[in-house]
Amino acid sequence: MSQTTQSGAISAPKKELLRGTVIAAIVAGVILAIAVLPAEYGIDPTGIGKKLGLTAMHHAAAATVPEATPASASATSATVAKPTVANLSAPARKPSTVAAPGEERGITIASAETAPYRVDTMEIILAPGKGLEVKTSLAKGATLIYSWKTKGGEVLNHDFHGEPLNAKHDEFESFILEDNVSESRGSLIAPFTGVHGWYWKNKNKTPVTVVLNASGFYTDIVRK
Amino acid sequence: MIFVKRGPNTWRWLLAALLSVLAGAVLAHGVSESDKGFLQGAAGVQIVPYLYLGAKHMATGYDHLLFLVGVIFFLYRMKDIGLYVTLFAVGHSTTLLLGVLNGWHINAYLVDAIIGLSIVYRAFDNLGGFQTFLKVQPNKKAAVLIFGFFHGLGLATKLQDFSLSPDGLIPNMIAFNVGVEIGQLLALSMILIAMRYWRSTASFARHAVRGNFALMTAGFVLAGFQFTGFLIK
Repeated sequence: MSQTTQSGAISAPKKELLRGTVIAAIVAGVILAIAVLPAEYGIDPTGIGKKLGLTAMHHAAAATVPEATPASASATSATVAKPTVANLSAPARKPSTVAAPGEERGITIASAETAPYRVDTMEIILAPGKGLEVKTSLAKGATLIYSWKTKGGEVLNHDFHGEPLNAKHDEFESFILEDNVSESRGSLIAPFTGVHGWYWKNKNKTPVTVVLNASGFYTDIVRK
Repeated sequence: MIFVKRGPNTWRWLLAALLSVLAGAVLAHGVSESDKGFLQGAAGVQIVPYLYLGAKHMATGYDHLLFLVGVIFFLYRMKDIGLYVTLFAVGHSTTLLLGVLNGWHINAYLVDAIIGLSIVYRAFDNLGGFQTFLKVQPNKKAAVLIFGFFHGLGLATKLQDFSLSPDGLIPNMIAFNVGVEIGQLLALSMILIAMRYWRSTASFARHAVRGNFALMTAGFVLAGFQFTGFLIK
């Protein structure tokens, strides 16, 4: 019979102790080999970790890039406007008092602008079967916000897009493409310096009037 | 008569060992990612957050908890429990404070591997292993104190990984330390409730040996896990 000793322990028989300790080490070894090492380090000596799908855990963890930088982050190198990309994990910045502790933000963009803020409202008449463009001049990183609506609720095809300065033919980028809509709203942080704006195509048999509200830090707005 | 009943009950041991490993997989050791973000962003004196983090670290740090389970396994009197837990607290507080103040950076994997082995050691000692095999009984109080030093080194290394701001370092560190003790007391009371219940069952004597072997298994797994990390990183 094992005894409870005064020193706060029991005394297991030697044979049991030896056997138990060896089994403990072996069980630990097996658990390490088939589960822990494959899942934590991708080390899979037996191949069982892979069959259990545990090595995938390691690969998934390794593939997770902590800071996914969206495309708009390219706005950092703007020449005219000077936006700053404020990411919480950027060590140089003072931490936010708004963010939850440890919150990982996708991206926060706040930019001081050199171009003056302006607001424009335009009425554009589209002849039947015709297309027309209104363009703004935006510096890389500058913001444009818009909303447009057809007066009579007629539908149009719409392409909100931009092209760099001195663009070659066919050199443009579509941001928002919509067919058969009577209104649209959106915003843009210009990914490059150039002309950014709207193209409408009137497929109706009658003229359509578009009322466009735009605001932002563009230097110019023209009908083309 | 022999404590360990061979046969159908062996699976319970395996289950216990497996569960402890699963718990390990769920709770990534150390401070969680979101807390890490907070620690890195925080500047100045932040008593309550650090208190909380210390308590959370202890209450969810399974390696510290398993060691505590081992320590109090056969301690029945509150006086003894208080003494051993105090020794452990003195041990880990000493190295936590010294480590952070002196900027000791000891490989966390190595420290954690030793912490894993501390669980094995205590479980082996609980079963009278040293007396049976070596005919000596290493001082139990000294062992708890010394392993306390290692647990504290782990805490210090981890806390420093979060580039502690020098602004408010000492109050924050002490708050973290006090939090660790609060978390330990909370965890300890839970462990005691469970242990008391377990001891009150008729089968405790039989299961006690198996329980210590399960602790040993978990300790070996932790040690192997951390030591592999030390080798490959």
